[in-house]
Amino acid sequence: MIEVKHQFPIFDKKIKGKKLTYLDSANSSQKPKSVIEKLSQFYSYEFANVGRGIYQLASSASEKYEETRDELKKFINCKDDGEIIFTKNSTESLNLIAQCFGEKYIKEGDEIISTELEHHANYVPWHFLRKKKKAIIKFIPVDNDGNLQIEKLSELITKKTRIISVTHMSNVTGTIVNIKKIKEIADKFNIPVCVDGTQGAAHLKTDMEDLGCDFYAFSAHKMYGPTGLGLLYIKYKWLEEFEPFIGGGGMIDFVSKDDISYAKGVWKFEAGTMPTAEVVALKESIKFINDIGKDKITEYEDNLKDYAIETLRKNNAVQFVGSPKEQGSVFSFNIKNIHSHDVSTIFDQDGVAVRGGHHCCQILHDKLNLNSSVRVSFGVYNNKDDILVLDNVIKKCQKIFG
Amino acid sequence: MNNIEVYQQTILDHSKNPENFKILKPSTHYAKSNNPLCGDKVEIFLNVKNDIAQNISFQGAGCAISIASASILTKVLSDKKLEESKIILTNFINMVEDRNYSFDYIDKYEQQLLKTFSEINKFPMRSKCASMCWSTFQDALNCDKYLNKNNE
Repeated sequence: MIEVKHQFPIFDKKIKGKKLTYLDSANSSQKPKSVIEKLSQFYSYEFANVGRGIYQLASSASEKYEETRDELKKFINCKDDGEIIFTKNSTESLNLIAQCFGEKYIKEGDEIISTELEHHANYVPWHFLRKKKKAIIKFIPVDNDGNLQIEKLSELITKKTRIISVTHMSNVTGTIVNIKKIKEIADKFNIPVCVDGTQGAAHLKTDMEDLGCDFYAFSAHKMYGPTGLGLLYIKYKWLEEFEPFIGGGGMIDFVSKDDISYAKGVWKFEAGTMPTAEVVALKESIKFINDIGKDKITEYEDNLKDYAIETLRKNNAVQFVGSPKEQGSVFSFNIKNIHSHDVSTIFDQDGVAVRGGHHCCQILHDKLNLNSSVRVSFGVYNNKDDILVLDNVIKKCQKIFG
Repeated sequence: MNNIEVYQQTILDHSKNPENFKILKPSTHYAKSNNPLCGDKVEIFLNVKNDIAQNISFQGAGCAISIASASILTKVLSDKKLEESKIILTNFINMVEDRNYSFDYIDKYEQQLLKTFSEINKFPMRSKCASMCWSTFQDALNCDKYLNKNNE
């Protein structure tokens, strides 16, 4: 049992007179007091823009900004051959890769391999390349249980395959993708691997040395951190290869009327004023996770997920969306003959927050012949009581629509 | 306002047994639309003759609110003059988006049917569910305009 709910002020709030049962952490996690207070403290007493001023406040803010980068590197075990770029969100991290990589290495007829599990954030940026460069996107299929059929990857790879971009963990079925296996196959053909770690980073082991991928996109707000801040792990060799993503202040080396040279390293990709307070406060999120222990969080959430599935399975009207062999702490379902948005509205009356819809995964829903689904996802603040509430509101829906 | 009130019996009945839930072919006017939030789809069919909307029907996949709303649309607008349909349509959208509206000019039973959705504005995330088929009906009336939009 992990007891951290009291550290999250949001749970003091009543929703329509009921206590909040928050089962939407895959969408965004709630924030612990330490993170909220750090934001306030930084703005109150420590604020200055980073990387510009010489005065003490500015230099101290810059130090704090870089401290978070160092903490993040430890958090994802990124050694000397890798770096972290701060972005706006995971989506921007993935757009950065698609744009910078695509601009240089993808030409007409070249192929990008993705999967049927992907969130739109790891599909639309590649679609832009398809439009702009006449590239081709291929998809590693999923089976009816939502397992990714990695064994089919080899036959999708051709001489024209330039990059493989896959999710670490599905935000719908919770399917955990074996990145190491993908990397193993990709290595045979010398193809770089980009990972959408938006779900993975908060719930799975994120060890870049171990995964071996070239890029890993994730976001602060899903790991108990602030919004407006995305993260991108990038292998060092690509930093020099890529042209800048966006241009402006902070990313330059020298500017004249005739030419511009760019900053070296990660700063080439961090143009303009960055979400400074958010970066500084993210250090507290990492501390929050580390204090409990990432492994312990994963185990705790997995047990909760197993308990939830076991509980809901007793209800014949609950139809699960897939049943993957390796599953993180997310799953989706439908209640027979009731639309997910009607379910979400009924749940909301009892303070139960879930997501209804296609969860930005229309390809997966199409593949599984579904219009939409209800998604339940866990954070470290959830407990078995939440699952009992969930079980009851499902029965209430059946009663109303029965 | 609780869930029982928003899911009034009329909405539940129409969602379970929607009226005019079928493809009308051939039809003089047609449009389809989808809700990007949930992937719900609706298609509206009708024949326009002498400025009157006839045999309005619909097809689609959606939540109880969207199906009931489409069912009620076909029931209320069928055999009405297009001019009158447009006025009802504008007022329906006004109602679900929490603006002033009036249905005083139509019969009591139809008023009652439309007002089933009068509480939906208290659920701003769901007003699109109620209004989508109505704006699709508008698109169907402007078939050409719809086709252009779809080709963008």
